[in-house]
Amino acid sequence: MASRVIILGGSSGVGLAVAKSCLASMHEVVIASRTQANLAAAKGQVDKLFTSFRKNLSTAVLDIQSEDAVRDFFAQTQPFDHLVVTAGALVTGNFIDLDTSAARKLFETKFWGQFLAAKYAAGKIKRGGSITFFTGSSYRPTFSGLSVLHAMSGAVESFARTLALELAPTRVNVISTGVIANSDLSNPDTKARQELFRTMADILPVKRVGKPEDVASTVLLLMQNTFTTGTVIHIDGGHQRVQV
Amino acid sequence: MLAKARVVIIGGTSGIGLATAKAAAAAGAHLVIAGRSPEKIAAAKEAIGGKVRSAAIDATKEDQVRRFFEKVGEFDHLVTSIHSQAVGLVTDLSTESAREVFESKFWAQYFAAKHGAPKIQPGGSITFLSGISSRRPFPRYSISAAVNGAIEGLCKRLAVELAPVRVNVIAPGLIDTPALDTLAANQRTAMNDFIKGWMPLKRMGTAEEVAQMVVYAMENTFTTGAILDIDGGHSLI
Repeated sequence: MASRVIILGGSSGVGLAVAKSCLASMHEVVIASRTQANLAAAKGQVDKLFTSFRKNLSTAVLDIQSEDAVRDFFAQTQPFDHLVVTAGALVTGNFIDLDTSAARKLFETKFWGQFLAAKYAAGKIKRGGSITFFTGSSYRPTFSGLSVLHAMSGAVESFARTLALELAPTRVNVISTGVIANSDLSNPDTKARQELFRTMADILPVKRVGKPEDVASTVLLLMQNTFTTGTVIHIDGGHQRVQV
Repeated sequence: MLAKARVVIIGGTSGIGLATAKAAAAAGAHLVIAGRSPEKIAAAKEAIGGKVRSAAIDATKEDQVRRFFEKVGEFDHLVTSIHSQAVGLVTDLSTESAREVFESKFWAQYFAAKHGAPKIQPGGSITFLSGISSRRPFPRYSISAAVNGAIEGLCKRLAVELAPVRVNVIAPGLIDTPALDTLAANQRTAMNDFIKGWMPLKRMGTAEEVAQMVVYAMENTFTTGAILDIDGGHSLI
C-alpha cells in the first residue's frame, strides 16, 4: 500500500537514498532540505532515475533549526505516514580543545532538529505510521574526537525510547550508522576519505564500508515492520563488534 | 582511600551532592563545593562540618566554570550532581523549558568535565549523575531521558579520551531528595502507589545510598566508562 513519507534531509546521502527507495516502492515522498539548490540537484537525480514515479516526489525548503519553520511546515502538511530525519552536520574534535560553539552546533542540528520534527510532526502522522531518527553511536572509541557525537546519540536514542511510549501507536525507532561512504556534492570523496574507507573496509567484518542504499533498506524495514518500536538498529558492518 | 584526596563537588549543596560531600568529608577528603546560591552553600558547609572550601557559581556559564577551576587548581576527583527536569508530553512541552534542562544538566556537567579534567591528578576521576529514564522510559519524561542519555554517551567516550582519568556515571532511580518537593500532591500519591505496587524494594532510595555509590566510583581504581545503576530494581520492571 502506498504511503506518504516525509524525509527531512532528503536531498543528499542517506536521505536521498531513502527517497529513491521509497519512490521505487511506489510511495509518495516529500524531501525537505535547507536550500533550493540541494533540492533541485536531488530532483534532477530522481528525474533521471525514474520516468513514472518521479511525479510522486515533491520538495520543500526547510531549516530544521528554526522552530517557526518546522512548526509552519507541519501545520501546512497533509496527514502522512512516515517521518524520517537524516538532516544534520557532523562535528568532531578533541573534547578538551573543541570549541563549545561547535559542540552546540551538533546538538542544534541533530538533537534539537529531531526534537522539533517529532514535536510538530506527531499530530500529523496517521495510524500505523512511524518516525525514524538517526544517530552515530556505532563507532569504536579508537575513532577519536567523537565525544559530542556520542552524547548527541545518547540523547536521541533515549528520547526516542520515551517517544515510543508517548506517541504510540506511532512507532519510533533509531538507526545508528557506522562508516557510510556518501559520495555526493556535500561530501566530496577526498583522498583522505578514500584512505579512511580503505582502512575501514579492512577492519570491518563485512570487508567494505557502507553505502547509503544499505541504510535505506533499514529505513524501509522500520517503516514496514509494524511490530518494531522503541529500538535502536546499528547498521555499521559490524563496527561495534571489532576491537578497533 | 579518599583520605587527603581533593574532591570537587559541583551541586554539592543539596540532595545527592550534599550527601556525597558528607560521605567524602567523613572519609577524610579535602572538599571544594560549588553551588548557585550563597545561602545554600553556607547551610551545606554547616551540615558538612570541618574545613570546606566553596564557591558560588552558575555552572551553566562556561566562563564561570573555567575561572572556578583555575582557582581550584590541581585536584583528584570531580563529582557533578545537578538536577533539572521538565515534565510533559513532547507535543505539549515548550522547547524553551526543554532547552533549559539541557543547559542546567547536560552543558553544566560538560563544562565541568572540560575545564576540570586538565586539573585532575593521576588516579583521579570524574563522576557524572544521570538517571534511570535514559534506558527505562517513562511517558512525559522524554527530556529527562534525552539529557541522561547524553551524559551517558559522553561518559563512555570520555573514559577513553581522558584516560587515565576515570569517568563514570551514576544512574539513580527514584530517590527521596528535595528535588521531589516540586511534585504536586496527586503526583506524589501516584508515585507512592507505584512504589508500593511494583518496586522490588517497595521504597525510594536515599541520597546517602547514592552517595555511597559515588564514593565507590571515586575509590575503585579499575572502574571507568561504567554506568552504575542504583534504583532498587526499578529498571527491571
